Amino acid sequence: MGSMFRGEEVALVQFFLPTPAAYTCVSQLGELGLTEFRDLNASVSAFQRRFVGDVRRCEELEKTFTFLQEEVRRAGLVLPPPEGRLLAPPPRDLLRIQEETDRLAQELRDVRGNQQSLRAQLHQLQLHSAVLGQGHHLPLAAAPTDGLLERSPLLQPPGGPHRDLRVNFVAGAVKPTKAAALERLLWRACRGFLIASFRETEQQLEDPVTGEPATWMTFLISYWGEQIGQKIRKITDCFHCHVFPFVEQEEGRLGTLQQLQQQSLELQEVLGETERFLSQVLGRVQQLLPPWQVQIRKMKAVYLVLNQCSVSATHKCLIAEGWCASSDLPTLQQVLQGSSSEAGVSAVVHRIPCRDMPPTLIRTNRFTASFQGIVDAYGVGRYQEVNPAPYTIITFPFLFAVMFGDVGHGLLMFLFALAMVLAENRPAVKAAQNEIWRTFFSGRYLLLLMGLFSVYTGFIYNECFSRATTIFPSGWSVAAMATQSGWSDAFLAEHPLLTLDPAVSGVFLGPYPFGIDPVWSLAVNHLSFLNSFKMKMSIILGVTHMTFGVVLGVFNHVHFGQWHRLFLETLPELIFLLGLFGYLVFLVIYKWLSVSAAGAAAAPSILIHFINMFLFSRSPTNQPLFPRQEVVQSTLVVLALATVPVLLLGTPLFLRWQHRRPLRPTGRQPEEDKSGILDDSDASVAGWGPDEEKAGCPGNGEEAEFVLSEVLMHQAIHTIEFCLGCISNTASYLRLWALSLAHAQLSEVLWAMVMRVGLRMGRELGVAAVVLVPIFAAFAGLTVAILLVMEGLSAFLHALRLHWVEFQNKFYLGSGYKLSPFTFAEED
Amino acid sequence: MAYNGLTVPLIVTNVFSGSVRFCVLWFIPKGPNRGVTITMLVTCSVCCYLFRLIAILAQLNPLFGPQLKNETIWYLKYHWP
Repeated sequence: MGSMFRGEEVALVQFFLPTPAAYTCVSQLGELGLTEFRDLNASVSAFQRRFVGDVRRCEELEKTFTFLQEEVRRAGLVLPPPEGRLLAPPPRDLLRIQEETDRLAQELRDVRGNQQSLRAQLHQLQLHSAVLGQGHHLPLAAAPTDGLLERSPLLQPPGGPHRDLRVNFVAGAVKPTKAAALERLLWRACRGFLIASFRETEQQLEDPVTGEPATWMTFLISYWGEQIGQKIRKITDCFHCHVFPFVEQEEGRLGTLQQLQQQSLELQEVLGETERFLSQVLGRVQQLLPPWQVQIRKMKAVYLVLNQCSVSATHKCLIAEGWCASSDLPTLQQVLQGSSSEAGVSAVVHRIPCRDMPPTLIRTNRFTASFQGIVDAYGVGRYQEVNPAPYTIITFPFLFAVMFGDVGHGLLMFLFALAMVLAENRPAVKAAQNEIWRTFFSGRYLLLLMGLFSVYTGFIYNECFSRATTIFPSGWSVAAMATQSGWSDAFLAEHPLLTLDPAVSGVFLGPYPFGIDPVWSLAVNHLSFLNSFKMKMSIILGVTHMTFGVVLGVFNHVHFGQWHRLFLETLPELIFLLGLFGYLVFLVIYKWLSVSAAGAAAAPSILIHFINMFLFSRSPTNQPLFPRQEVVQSTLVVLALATVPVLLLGTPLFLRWQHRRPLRPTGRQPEEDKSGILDDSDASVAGWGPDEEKAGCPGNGEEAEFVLSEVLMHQAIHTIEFCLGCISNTASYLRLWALSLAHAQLSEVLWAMVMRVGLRMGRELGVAAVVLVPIFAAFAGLTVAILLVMEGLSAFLHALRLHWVEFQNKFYLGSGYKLSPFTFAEED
Repeated sequence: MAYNGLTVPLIVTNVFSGSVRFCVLWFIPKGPNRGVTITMLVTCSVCCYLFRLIAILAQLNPLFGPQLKNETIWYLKYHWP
C-alpha cells in the first residue's frame, strides 16, 4: 500500500564531511531538505561552539538589514521578493556583503540626518516669516499710553523710575495647545505691563520630525520695562516657544521677510536634492537587499548546522549525524559526491544502527495533508505505527455528515469548498492574510468531502433545508387506510389526529428504497420513529468503527513481531467488544428483520433484554427474540468476563515466562544496542513498549531487570481502560444521534418560523413577493450563520472527538515526533 | 416501492453496486497514490452501503405508523396513489 499506511523507514545516517567542503555540502543538503540533523554538541553552550563567530557576523548583518528594511518601509516603498534560486554564498563573500551593507547603511544614515536638519532649518525659517508676516494689529505707531490705557485702565503709568516708555517687542510662535496657557500666565505674571496678541498661522507648516502639517500660533508681545522683558523671556522659554527678533519699523521687517524667503527658497532646493539622493540610495537598497537577506539567512542556517557537527580526531573532517528516509539515501550520496568533488576528498554518508526511536515521516500531497494534519494534531504516530489517516479521509467526513445530514446545507458547503479548490492557485488567494480565511482555505479538501457526504446523508435522511422530497413514491398509503377504516370526511372533521396502522393490509407497501420515507416528515410523531432509527444507527456505526480500530491494532502487532499480543490482547478485546456490543447490534438487526407489525403489541424491548443479560435475570413480560436467547446471552457474558483476566494477566505472565526461558542467546541479540525502543522485532524487554511512555527504563539493556509489577500495572490500566471504555465509548457514539436531531430540529424551526411565514402571506399579487425578499434574506443569513457555521463547527468538533478518542485509543499511541528536515524553505 | 419485502431491491442493488465497485478498482491509475485511492474507495463504499442498509432495515417492519393531521389525510387521500 502507499506510504500513508504507516510511516516510512527512517535511518540514522552519519556524514563525514571534509572540512574545506563542509560548508558547501551542508548548503546543498539544506537545498535538498531531506535530513534532520542531530545535535552532537548538545553539552556545549552556544558561545563555545566552533562557528559562533560566523553566526554572530550573520546576525549583525541581519540587524543592519532590519534597519535598511525599516528605512525602505518608512519611505513608503516595498521590497520586491527575491527571484530565482539563491544559494548560500561561500564564506569569502560574506566580507564583501558586509562592507557593502555597512556602506549603504552609513550613506542612508547620513542622508537622513542631513534631511532632518535641513527640514528643521526650513521649519524655523517658515515660522520666522510667519511671525513677521502676520500683521498683529497693534497700534504701534500710536502713543503707547493710549494703547495701554485701553487695555488696562486700572493702571496708570506710574511716574518716577518706572517711566520707561520705550516699548519692546517679543515675537515668536507657540503651539496652539499651549497658547491659552501662555496667555494666561503672561497676564498673571506681567499684568498690565504688556499687550499680547495671538494669531494663528494661515498655512499649516510641516512638522520636521513627524512630517505632519500643524498650525502654530504666532504672538507678538509688546511690553515696557526691563524686568518685564526678562519675565516674559523666561516664560516663553518655559513654554518652548520659538522667539524671533522683531524689528519695530515696517521696512526693517519687510527686509527681513524678504531675506527669509530667499533663504527658505534656497533651502528648499537643497532639500530637494537631498531627497533625490535619498531615493537613489533607497532604490539601490531595494535592489540589493532581498537577495542578500535570503543568502544571509541560508548562511546562518548552515553555520548553525555546522555548529552541531563534531570534529573528527584528525581535524580533517566534520562528523554529522542525522535522520533521513532510507529511500532518500542514494540521493543524499549523490548530492554529497557532487558538492565535495572539488575538495579532493569526497564526503561520505552511511547508515548506522540507531538506538533511539526514529522520527516519523509520512509523505502527503495537498489533498491528504489536511487529514494527516487532523491526526497529527492529536499526536504524531510512533515510528512505523499504523497511521489512521488514510481511513480518516473517508470516515471523518462520513461521521460529520451523519450529524449534519441535509442536502441543501451539504450542497452549500460543497460549493463553497469547490470554489476554494478551483481558485487555489490564484496568487491573490494564496497571499491573503486573514487568519480565519486561511483556516478555511487550508481545510478546503476537508470541506469538499464533508459537503459531499452531507449531500448523501441528506438524501438518506430525506431532508433538504428540512423539507422531504418524494423521489420515489412513498411506502405508506393513506388512501388504503382511509377506505379500510372508514375515514369519511365527517369522521376526519371530528378527529384532528389519526394514526396509520401498518397491520392493516395495504397501508404499508414496503420500505422506501433510498432513505427515510417522506411521509414521516408530515407526521406528528416523526420524532418517535426517527429517534429510534438514529439511536440504533449510532450504535451500529459506533461498534463498527471501534471494531475496525481494534483490528487495525493487529497490523501493529504483526509488524513489530509481538505475536503474543495478538492472542493475549487483540483476541480477548475482540471477544469482549463483539460478545457484548456486537451482540447488541445483532439484537437490533434481528428485531428489525423478525418482528413485524402484526406482533407489534408484544414486541420485545431490546433495552430490557440487554439489562437483564448483565444482571442474569429475566422479565416475564418481555418476550425472547429467538429461542434459547437466555442461554446465548449467559454464555456471552461469561465469555466476556472470562476475557478480562486474560487481558489483565496474559501479557505480563507471558513476558515473565519468556525471560525465564533458557534461550538467552537469541533473546539477547536485539538488545545489544543499549536501552530504548527499537523499531524492529522482539522488543521483548520492552515488550509492553508501545504501551509505555517511560520506555527508557528497561533496565539498561539487561534482561534480568524485568519489573513484573510495572508491567502488571500498565496492563491493568490498559485492561480497565479498554473494558470500561467499551461501554462509555459505545454510548459516546450516541452523539451522532443527538447532533443530527439538533440539526434537523434547528432547520425545521428556521423554516417554520421564517420561510413559512413568508410563503403563507396573502394571495394578493405582489404582497407575498415583496415580503419574501427580506424574509428570504433573513432565512439565508440565519441558515449560513447558525446552521452552516455553528452546526458545522459543532459537528466537526464531535466527529473529531469520536476519531481521536473512541477510534484511536483502540490502537494508536501517537507519541512519536515528526521528521523535520533541515531545509531553507521559509516557514511562515 | 410497492415491493413487499426486502429481497428484490436488496439483491438488485447489491449486485449492481458490487460489480460497479469491482470494475472501478481495475481502473485506478497506477500512481504513488494508488494505495490511498483504493482505501478511500473501499471505505467510502462500505460506509455508504452500511448507512443505506440501516435506513432500509429500520423501515422494513414498522411497528407503528405515522400520526397525521386530518388536513394532511384529506390531502393525501386524493393526491398520493
